[in-house]
Amino acid sequence: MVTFPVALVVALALMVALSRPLLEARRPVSSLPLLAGMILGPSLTGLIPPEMLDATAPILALAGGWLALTAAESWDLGTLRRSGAGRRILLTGVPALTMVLLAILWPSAVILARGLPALASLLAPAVILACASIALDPTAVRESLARTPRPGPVMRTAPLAASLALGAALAATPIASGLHATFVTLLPWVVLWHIAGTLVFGAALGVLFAGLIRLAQGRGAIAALLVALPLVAYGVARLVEMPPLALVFVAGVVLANDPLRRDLVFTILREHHLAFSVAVLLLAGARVPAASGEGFQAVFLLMAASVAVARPLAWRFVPSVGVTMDQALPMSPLAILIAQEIMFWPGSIWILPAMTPAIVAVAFVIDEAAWLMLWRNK
Amino acid sequence: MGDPVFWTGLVTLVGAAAAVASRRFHVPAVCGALVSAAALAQALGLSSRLAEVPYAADGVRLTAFMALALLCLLAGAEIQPGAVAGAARSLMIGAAAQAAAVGLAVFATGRALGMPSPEAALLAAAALAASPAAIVAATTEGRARGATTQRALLLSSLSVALSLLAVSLLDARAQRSWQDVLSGLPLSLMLGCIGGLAIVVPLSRMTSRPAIVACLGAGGLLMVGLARAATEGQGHLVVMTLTAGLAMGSLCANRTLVREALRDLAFPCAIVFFALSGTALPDTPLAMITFGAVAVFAARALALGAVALVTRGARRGLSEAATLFPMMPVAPVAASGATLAMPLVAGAFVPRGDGQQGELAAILLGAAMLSVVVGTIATRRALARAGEMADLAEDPESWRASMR
Repeated sequence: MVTFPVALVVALALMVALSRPLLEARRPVSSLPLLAGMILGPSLTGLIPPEMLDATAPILALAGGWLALTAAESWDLGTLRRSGAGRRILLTGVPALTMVLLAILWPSAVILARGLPALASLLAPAVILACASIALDPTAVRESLARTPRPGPVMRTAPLAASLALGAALAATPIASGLHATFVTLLPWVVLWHIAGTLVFGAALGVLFAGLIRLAQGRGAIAALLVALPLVAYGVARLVEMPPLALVFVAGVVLANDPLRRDLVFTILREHHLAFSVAVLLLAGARVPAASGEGFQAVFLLMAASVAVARPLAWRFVPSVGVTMDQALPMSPLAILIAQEIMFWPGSIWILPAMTPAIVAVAFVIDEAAWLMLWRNK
Repeated sequence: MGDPVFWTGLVTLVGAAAAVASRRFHVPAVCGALVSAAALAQALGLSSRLAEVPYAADGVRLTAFMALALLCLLAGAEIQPGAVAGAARSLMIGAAAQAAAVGLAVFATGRALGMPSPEAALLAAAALAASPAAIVAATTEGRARGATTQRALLLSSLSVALSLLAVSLLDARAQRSWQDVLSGLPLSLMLGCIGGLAIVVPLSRMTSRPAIVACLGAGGLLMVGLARAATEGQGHLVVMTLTAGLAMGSLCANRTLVREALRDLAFPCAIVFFALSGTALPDTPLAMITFGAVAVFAARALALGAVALVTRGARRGLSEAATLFPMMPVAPVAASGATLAMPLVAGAFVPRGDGQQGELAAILLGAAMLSVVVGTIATRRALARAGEMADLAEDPESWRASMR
């Protein structure tokens, strides 16, 4: 057990040493905790032992859920209606992006499947991988927009588009898990059950917590309830076998549409966003499985690179969403968690589910490096 | 049904809802969180459910330890040695006198309850510790500032150190291993200093609130990791984090910002920690626990009150005694088959001791819960009487403002 604090000290030292030059360049340093986690996790050095990772499950659930709640902020129905952008983005942007990504990822999935019988089971993981990789980080996009000198009306909807993209990525999880279950059980209503269940349970939790938050006096009490929300949602999601992040996100959308406490709730959420973001990246990085197997490394790197290249290109093909090239680069940390969720599906024994989190994690690092280079060149 | 995420969430939700409700009835939030979580855990047999799943209890424990670490970092950072420098001698005498009185009273109670001398002595040693977490939760909730608050924080920190020393001595005597006595407290202090410095270096460069919160979170996790690593060397999370907090409060360049960030974190951390601590009681017959717990609580309270009256004069003495009523929810962990070892584990995590060890742990936890519930109410009253926080009866407007 001595290895765990050693790992933490190494991770902290690594982050402190590397973050200074990046902070001086005024760039986000999201890849550092992810890389620290990947290096210290059981798959590489093993300084963070597997039993410690099991014990950190509630902390990871809390941190991931917190990020999903924060991302729901821009899903304010009033703003959506006023901007008129929501429908445009939903109808054109997200499906177009998903299709572009699927067009790139699908051949890879076919190659990996090595035969038609496996194709059906690979469809859902491929959708997940595609959708996970369109998940933008609304907070980073908001910061990027703030640095833009004269943003146009379309560009001003960029945080909204990013949040919608993240929402679409999360919404894809129940759809894909339903598809997956349908292929396994041959029961078509499973897809509907997953979608409806996620919406119903998420909305119920959102209404319950919105009521409690209205009763609460003071920031501290609201913060305590916000700590409980992701944990309860994760627990409920596991009990009813729904995707937990999507459930938390739906609850967050309910909170975002509560005019009475909305501002206070999201101020608290944003204040702790960075801490939970670091926690998600560190712990999710430590959970990334090692690449192994014959020919695995090449396919792995090929897919990671294709995701990293396809993401900003895909966003460029959909100008109506208002997201610029550099705003499209920061991938949400939740993308790694979305990719990890599919590892827990029953029957997920295929090569793609196992390596999906690693692919997304590597794409995340390439993504941020590209963003850094773009910014330096400006 | 042993999913640690679900149970952590449910217990935290029930604790937070009860905290919200208890504030409406002008009762400290931690009381509501602790009592409601304890009732829920007893009704559902939570400790048995968690024991069924590997690492489930470990997951709950780690979450609670994180919250405890942040609370104790705040308690340490709030202590301003300069403010009580003139009263160092009286503080030391007060701490020693209280420890002696509480130790004797609880030992006598343990013997009267029919415990053998070694177990009664361990009960007394563990009962010495006042809970810095409960005190800092009460002072932060009411935004208390002043000399009595400072004395309460310092005395509770000293009492934890004395308790650790006493338990180590008793354990060493039983096991004939004096290495533990030499290593326990100094190791905790040393690791606390190292951890504190490791947090101070990056923290001093930070100016934005989110970055400070992120650094404090990493610091809390680091302290928990160090405490886990030092378990075999009798390291103690509370002593370590208090020391680290003291180092932060003294050395950090932006200590005001850090304290403000920690105060913001204090309430949710207190709810999480005390709610999860409320799930600690093992499945032991409640009548036996209740009788023993009330006896230990009463003995401790009487001893604290008597010493404070003698050493500090009636009004101030009673105020100070009241602030020390919350007892640390410590539980002795069975280090070997024959003896009880260090009081490392807070709340939720009583090992399933059998026979007298299980009974002793249950009595100690029952007394601690009773002390936290009664003690936080008494602490708030005492601090209001000392003029260091708003009083509901005298100034309801200020009191309501302090709760916002």
